[in-house]
Amino acid sequence: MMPRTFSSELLTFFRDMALMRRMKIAADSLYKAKLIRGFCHLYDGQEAVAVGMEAASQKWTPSSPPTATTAPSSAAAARSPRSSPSSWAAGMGARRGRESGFYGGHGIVGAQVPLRCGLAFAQKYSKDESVTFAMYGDGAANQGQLFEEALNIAALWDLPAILL
Amino acid sequence: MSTKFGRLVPLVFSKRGFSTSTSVQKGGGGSEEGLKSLNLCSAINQALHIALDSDPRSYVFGEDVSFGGVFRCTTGLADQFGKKRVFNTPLCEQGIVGFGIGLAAMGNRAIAEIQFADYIFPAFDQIVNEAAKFRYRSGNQFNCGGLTVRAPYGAVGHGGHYHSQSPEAFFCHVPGIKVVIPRSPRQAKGLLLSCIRDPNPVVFFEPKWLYRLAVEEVPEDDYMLPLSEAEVIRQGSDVTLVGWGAQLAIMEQACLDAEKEGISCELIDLKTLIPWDKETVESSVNKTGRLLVSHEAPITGGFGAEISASIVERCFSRLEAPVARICGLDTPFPLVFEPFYMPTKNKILDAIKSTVKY
Repeated sequence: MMPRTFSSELLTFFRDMALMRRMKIAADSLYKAKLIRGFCHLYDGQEAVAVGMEAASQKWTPSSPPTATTAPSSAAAARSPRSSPSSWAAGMGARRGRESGFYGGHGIVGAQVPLRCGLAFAQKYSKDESVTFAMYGDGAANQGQLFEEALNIAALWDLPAILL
Repeated sequence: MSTKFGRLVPLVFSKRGFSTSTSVQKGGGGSEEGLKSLNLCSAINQALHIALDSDPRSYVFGEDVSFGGVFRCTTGLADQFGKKRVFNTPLCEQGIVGFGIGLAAMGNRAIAEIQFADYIFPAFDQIVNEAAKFRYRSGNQFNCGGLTVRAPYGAVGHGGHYHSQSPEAFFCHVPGIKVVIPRSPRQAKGLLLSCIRDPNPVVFFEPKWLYRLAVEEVPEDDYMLPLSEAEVIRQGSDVTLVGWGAQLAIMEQACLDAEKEGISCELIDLKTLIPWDKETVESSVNKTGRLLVSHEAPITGGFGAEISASIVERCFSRLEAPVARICGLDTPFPLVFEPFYMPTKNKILDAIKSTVKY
């Protein structure tokens, strides 16, 4: 039987998505003002993926996000009592991420998916009944290490992993 | 053999099994007439236009190249030559290079673009185990010599770990391919055309910091510059400096500052890292008695170590000081700490002084 979703939860989901969108817009402005250095890969339009993932998962589910990493970390921050969006914005999110099972972003497209097989294997081995989420986009889907290698090994060893 | 562009000389690479028979133009390249002020990006673009125009069997492909690429180096190519010769690939570096090897093996000129040199590693196996060994393992019955892999490399001021790396040393350990890095627009155009027409697979790293910054007069004609021939950019008598790519501009500034303090520096652009021009460097070090090598890549295992070892072997009795290496640090390429990581003018100047005073 499907678990019920209450209106208060739906409002929380909407609040989280709106917060993430506002953070994206702020990050974009800061990047254009050269106050954020490096490359700024935003997550506009994909907020529902991270929020849905967080909503469906329990607290200790490790996640391995794609290149655009700010939104999943801010989603985790929004759901975690130990880490607020403001602390993430100050650069604390990635540092505290491991406490809540967030294993950081990856600059090489598709490279995060094989890594999550190792996380999932460790979970299965230690019998902790959790799963790993590995997030990727349409670009990463072209990489050989994703389907031919990571997905193959996940299926072969029946790993508790979800690709989304 | 001569043309209006200057004297043509055959380059013969007897070492390391490189094949022969490419005629390339010696010297600065191109006639002094028909010069146009171009940045490095535009010079690359012009070279690609010429390559596609002069050989109907040449193709350009890679991620986003059809609309001009992320750095705009392939702008206008698809419009002029059609999407059957200039086309986008999936985001799959191993597939891009593997496809290029097959295309080149059928007698075509395959010009593959890897969007950033940092992304070349998924294709490492294809370059090292397929492209580099294709001719050798078949006893020269077939080859993929028409393959050129272009990749923007090096620091750019804000690139961080995954958009700033200088991976040239990885490929310099591989017999069967050539590694070429230009320092300026004029060099970029002439060297790229030589690479495309060379009968061996080539990895051509483009210093992305210079795409817009480096501007000079470039001949609009079709011209080629010789591979495996270093260039003495600046004559000197006290110390030899060797570098390549964007680092040359930094080294030249250090040379100018050293000159103010009475130190005469000879500056050499290696241009081709494999197979490299040992003779030019050896001749210079025999004259100056001192050598300094500088590159952006981390110092340990960098190509500077190979230059250092080779020159110590050849010039041991002439050296007045240990070979100095001013390179990137042995850390992942940083973000906010990039200025500390980089082999800057002041670091090079300090090394010049300590080498001369040794």
